[in-house]
Amino acid sequence: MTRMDCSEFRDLLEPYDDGELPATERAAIAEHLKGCRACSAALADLQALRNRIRTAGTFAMPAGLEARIQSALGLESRRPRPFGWRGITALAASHAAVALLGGVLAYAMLVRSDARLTTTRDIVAAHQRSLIADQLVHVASAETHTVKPWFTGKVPFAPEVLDLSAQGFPLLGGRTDYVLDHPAAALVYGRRKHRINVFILPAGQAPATAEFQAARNGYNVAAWRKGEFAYFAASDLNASEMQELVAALNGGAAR
Amino acid sequence: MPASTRNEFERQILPHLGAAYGLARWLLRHPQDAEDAVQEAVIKAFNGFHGYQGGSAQGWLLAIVRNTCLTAIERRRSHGKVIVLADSAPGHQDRWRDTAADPAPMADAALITQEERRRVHAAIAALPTLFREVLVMREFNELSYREIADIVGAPVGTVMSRLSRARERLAAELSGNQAKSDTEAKS
Repeated sequence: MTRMDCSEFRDLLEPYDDGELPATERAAIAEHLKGCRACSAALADLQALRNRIRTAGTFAMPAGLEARIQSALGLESRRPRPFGWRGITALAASHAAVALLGGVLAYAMLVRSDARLTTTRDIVAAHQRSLIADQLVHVASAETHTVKPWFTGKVPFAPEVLDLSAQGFPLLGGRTDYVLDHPAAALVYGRRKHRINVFILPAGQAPATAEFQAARNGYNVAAWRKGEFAYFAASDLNASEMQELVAALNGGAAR
Repeated sequence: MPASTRNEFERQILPHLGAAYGLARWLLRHPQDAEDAVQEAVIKAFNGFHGYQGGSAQGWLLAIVRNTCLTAIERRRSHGKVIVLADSAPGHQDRWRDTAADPAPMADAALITQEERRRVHAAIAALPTLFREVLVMREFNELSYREIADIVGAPVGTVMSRLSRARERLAAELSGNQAKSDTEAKS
């Protein structure tokens, strides 16, 4: 093997040692390693590092944590569910029909505002997280026909990707993220120096919070539905400009 | 919630509690915070279990644990709370799990000095969160690039480069320490 091959092989040593390469590439590297001392030494270094890490070990679960979680789950599974059959029959047994209706409505409102709060918190956290360097976009492009196909295979649905540069919100790119405990498509738009994250996930996977606007920690959050998707936008942009963005996104070709 | 759902949840998800705790412990760098995060994440997972569509149960749980931990880190940061790393807090005794798949004869557990372990752990703990998490998932959970990519919501190529940079930093941080700790181990 010539020296020219080395740099090419060197980059593959980690995936090779991690068992991530297909058989043909594995064989080519094994062959190269036989004749190349420098690459063999680099591989030995990698393996020595791995051995040190694994020998140092990770943290074991503290005794009693599983039992504590089991008992928390016990409580959780007995908690009445919103509109759950058992909850309703239990209420029906002790309330007159009018009281029942009032109770259910009050409970539903309570549950909904609670869901709104957790949703807002989760969306703001995802937005803040994305602002950490090199997290914002995985595909940087203003072209909708670049961003849209990029999501194929990365999220189990096809989000609508709109170019809003005419409305003053240039598309900066896209990213996959994880919000509300589900994979979501994130579109990033800009206005002046502000960044706006628009999270899109199938409506069925989002809490039934319908449409709302909220503010938290200096960020504005908007939630709405369009077609079969739930949309959540988060930004430090002011509320009226957020409304503008929501309107612009809703103005696209509806499905 | 029907009892069968809870049984199904316990059967599929609870075997991964150890992995969940390990990840939370490395992300939050604090044992009590890690326990709280795992408990919170498992309750979230339980309430969202109807949305679990098969696939890797461990990956599904770890993604929720990660999300919970990152939110906790954000919360800490916005409260300006300073965390005394438990790794350096005196009197705290963590329980270790040896993950060496094939320990070499000389790497017998008795010969691993506390000093060597402390050094390696401190070097891992000092990595930026995004590098640390991929390293931990690869080396301690032995997850594939694809599985890690799904958990952190990044492309495989990004996972590869973060892992590579994590190793590069660790190697630099730990170089020169090896000979010393070997001597200590034998003395």
